[in-house]
Amino acid sequence: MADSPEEIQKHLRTYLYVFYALIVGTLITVGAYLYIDLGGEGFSVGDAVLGLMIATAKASLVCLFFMHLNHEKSLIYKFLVFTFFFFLGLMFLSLFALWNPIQEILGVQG
Amino acid sequence: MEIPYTVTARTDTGLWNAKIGIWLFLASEVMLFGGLFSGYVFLRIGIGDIDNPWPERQLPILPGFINTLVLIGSSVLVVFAWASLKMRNYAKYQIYMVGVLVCALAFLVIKSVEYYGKFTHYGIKLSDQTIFEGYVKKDNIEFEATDLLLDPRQTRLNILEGLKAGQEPLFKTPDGEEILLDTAWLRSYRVEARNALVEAQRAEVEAAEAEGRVANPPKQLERLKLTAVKPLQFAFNPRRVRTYADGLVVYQDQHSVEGTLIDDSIVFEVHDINLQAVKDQENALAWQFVDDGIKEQFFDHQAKVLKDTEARGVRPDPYELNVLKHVHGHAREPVSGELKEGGGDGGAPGVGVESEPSEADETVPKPETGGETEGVSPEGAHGKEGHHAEESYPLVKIPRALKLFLSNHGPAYNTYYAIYFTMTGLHGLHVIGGALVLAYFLLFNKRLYQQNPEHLANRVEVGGLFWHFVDLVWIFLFPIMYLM
Repeated sequence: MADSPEEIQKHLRTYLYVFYALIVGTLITVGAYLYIDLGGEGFSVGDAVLGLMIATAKASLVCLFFMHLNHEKSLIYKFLVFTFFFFLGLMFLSLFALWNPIQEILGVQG
Repeated sequence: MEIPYTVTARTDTGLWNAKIGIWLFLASEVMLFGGLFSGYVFLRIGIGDIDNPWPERQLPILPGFINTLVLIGSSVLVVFAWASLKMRNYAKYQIYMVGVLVCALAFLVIKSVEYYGKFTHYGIKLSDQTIFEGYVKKDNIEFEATDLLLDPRQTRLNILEGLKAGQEPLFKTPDGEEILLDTAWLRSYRVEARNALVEAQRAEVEAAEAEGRVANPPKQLERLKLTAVKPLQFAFNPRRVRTYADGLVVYQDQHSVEGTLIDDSIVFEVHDINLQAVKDQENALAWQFVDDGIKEQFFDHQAKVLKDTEARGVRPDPYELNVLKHVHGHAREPVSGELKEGGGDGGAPGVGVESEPSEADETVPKPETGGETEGVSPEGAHGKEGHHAEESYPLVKIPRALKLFLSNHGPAYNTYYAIYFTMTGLHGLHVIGGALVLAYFLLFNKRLYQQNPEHLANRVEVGGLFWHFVDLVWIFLFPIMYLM
């Protein structure tokens, strides 16, 4: 059982490292904006990918360590697989709306 | 009945009740925020032509950055609080939990300051897509009324809200009777008029029967024209006015006044000029309101940005290129010394106002003073302090006909602010909710800890999971709202 007091004592150091990593991640995001000009030349795909990659990395750290998803019971993972699947569905809904076939039929530029 | 598995885990799943519950709840939360993120992507990709540029990076980064750090800090503190409970150290748990709540409070305070700035900051879009950003100093329709057309079907008399202070709504009825108009009078008039109609119809039916014909349909209540004993000065809130013209204002409550339109212009303190969507910038409407010095500033700024970006070999950012921030200079025609100073004795507002801006000095009602400016919209009172103390921002008078859109930087301002307030507002509500739950654990669960410390540890774990999720949402909100 990973949640025994002795184990948790050991984990505290990990939590602190994760905390530092999150701060560094935030600094990198802002630094990218200030110096690499994230979005500076107008919004581009590269900007979005870079910003979202850093955010995803930070989010993963929070999920894995703070939310203990690095050692969770299998039932929770099953929940999350379904959640992820439907989340992707939600994201694609808006893309379907942008690939609006009706506008093409009417000859309207989408 | 004892509910099983509140503290100890089931042997088959290895989970206790609340843990399953919170993960199912978080899954539904992912759907909620996922839908909104999807909406954001849709708006962001679907917009962005020259007429409708996506406003990139309009928020100051610092508050968002600090808030990110605050939430990360609170996240690690909540883990530490849970770990302290697991190690049965209640004192440390309390300290960490207080830290979490302080962070939550700090987050909300910073967010509120940010929101307040947005709600008091205005933008006006002119008919050629010129956008002035700054503060509204006057936004009302001043009107001198000689007659009032009452719609007797209405029960309310909101039109009198626009009446400037110090005047009695004294009118003469068509019969020459002098009355003080109020809702009680309107009510009694309506009863009388209806009774008269009913009587008339009864007589008509009787007459028709006697004459052997079909009775005419009943008459409707007709508008009643009241003549003002003395011309009355109104200052209407434009959002309450249904429609208006030179000699007529129709109010939201269907009553209307006839007379003379005195002044319907908007007085605006210009801080930024945004010509991002203006096709012919050289002849933009903006330059009709501010002097040539500011026009020069704008094109100098543009030349500088172009030179800079050319030297670096990159494409200029359309927002930076087409927006002149912190305008220094004067309006082409001075509006009103009184508005600028925010002082003066007020006098009799609206009386004898001429249309020449320079003559209107004494008579434009000041948004800063209460009494006589009831018709001034509530926005008029905003942005009064500190904005024009040292720097001289031009104060321009814009004819209402040139206005396409006037709003604060609230959700209505553009698509960006709509999604910004929706998502950050919902996130803020989650922060409040999470903080309330954690505060409850801290304040009221000491006895639970004494009875069964593991139970409180489980509660804090579950509350913490929610708290981390709130942090998680912010980790994505920060770059997409503040940076991209």
